[in-house]
Amino acid sequence: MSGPLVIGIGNALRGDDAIGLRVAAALRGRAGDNLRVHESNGDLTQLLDDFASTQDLVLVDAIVSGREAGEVCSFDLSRDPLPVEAQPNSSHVFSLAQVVEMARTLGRLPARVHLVGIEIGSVRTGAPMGEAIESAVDVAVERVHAHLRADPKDPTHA
Amino acid sequence: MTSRTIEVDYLARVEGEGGMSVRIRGGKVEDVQLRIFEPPRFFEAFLRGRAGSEAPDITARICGICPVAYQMSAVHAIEAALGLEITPTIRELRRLLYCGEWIESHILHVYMLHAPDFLGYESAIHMAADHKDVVERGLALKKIGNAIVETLAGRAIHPINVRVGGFHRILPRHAFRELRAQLQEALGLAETTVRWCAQLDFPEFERDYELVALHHPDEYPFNEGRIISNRGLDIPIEDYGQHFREVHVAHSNALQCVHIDHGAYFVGPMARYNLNFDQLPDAVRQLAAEVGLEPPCYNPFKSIIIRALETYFAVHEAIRIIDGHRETEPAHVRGPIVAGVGHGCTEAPRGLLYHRYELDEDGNILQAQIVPPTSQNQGTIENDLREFVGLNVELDDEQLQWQCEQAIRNYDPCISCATHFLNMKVDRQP
Repeated sequence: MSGPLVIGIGNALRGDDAIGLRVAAALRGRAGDNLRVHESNGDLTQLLDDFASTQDLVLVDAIVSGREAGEVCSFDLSRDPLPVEAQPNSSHVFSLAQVVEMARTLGRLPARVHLVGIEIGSVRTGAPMGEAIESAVDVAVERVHAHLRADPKDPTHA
Repeated sequence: MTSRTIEVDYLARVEGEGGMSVRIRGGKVEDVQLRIFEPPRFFEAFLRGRAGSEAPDITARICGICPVAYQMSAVHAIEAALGLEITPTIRELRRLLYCGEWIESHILHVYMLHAPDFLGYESAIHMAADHKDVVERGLALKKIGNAIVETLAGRAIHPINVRVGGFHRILPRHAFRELRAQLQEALGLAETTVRWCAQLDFPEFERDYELVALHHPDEYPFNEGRIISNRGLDIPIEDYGQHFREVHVAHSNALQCVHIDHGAYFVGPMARYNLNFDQLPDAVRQLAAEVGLEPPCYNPFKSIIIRALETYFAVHEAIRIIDGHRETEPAHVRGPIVAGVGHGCTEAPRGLLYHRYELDEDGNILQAQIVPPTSQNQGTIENDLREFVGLNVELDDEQLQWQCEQAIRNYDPCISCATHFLNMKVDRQP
């Protein structure tokens, strides 16, 4: 089994829904080969295969939860499902929340799983990402690193 | 008499978002409206001014589940406009690519989206808790479908190896060795899927549909054929626009596709199956007979079995193509850039997908028209619901909603580019 894995999820043609992919690209650009970073459109089997390759997983995706657009928040999915009020809203086929719960049900969820969610505005086809969302990229990147730096044996592991 | 209202923000397990409204008066259905699909108008506009060679890569992003279908309809249309003829090898490998997409899409639908309905589960996750082996079987099959697309086209989602004229690169036969072994395993999984689907409980529900599909005399259709129906339609794909149109219908706010002077029509697996059963390989027809599903079949709930049979066919077809694969050159054909109009009509997993492009003398797109299968089925789905609700009007709202969702999922509607949320409203009054 390989080391930590970050998966950015999104659709590059659906406005703010590109944020997961943008954060993944930024991580790859800064970390190079030192960090495994994948991009995904949310395909169920691809994600389940990726989950099987790590015990330390960080997911990055757009969310719609009533927060301010551009707000970055984290969810520990290692033991509990995503809170209902923060279910990711995307144009993906099988929602990320459903993929995670399917993995948990099938015994395929990594031991440590975090979601870095970025609150989005519009997912209009063809529109660029909003300014507030663009500004969230760096914050999301730092949040991902914070999750990866935290000691898994530390009970306060982020 | 009493009044009831149910509001639901979304249709679960239909890709994207959607909804419906039902009005009942005195125990009788007065109106059913369904809006679950917004035609890809953005993409039609976005394509204008772009090179025709960009059409497959752009249109592939219309749908995350059936990008191959969009690519195939696009390349065939552009090639028709340019007068390009592909080689037999390219033709076969495009069929192989489509096999991968049918397997991916059909199996996702069967196991993750529709089977939970038949077994009384809220979702595939709830189903997986009790039937882990069943779900694992579905995931294994879907993965093999993904593998076909990834091997042939470089990426499982939004394939990158497809281009006007063929492929950027064709792999030699030995590169398919591992895939061939996976497909051998998939035969058993697909057959089990058919038998498993066939033993589900199906509502007794049939309507007199006009079924429309591609038809080819020598093969179960993917990319080529004439457009036929069970009511005598038999036209070349270039005549699509003379027979099918998006219209405003009096009882609906949404644009609906109609067969001109005929009305709503039905595209998708049940149409293909009824109209092309004789073109299926012996093994598939034999299995269909064993599970009691030889045509005619006009019960849309049994589309889940047909999707399983089409998956079984796709595995057989993929093996046949790989076993016959020899040539790698030319990977694509070229020709002069000319002005023209081209039509492409292929069988996406959900049914007929029509593209039309008008090119200028530089090969740039002047005008594009894309008519997806779910757009064509909206009228038929609405008519199904009108009758289905009438048969089940005594159910409480929650049960009625769930039954209607199951009925809509018969069509495996793809609304991944839906742009609006709709409320489900059951409005009952005395």
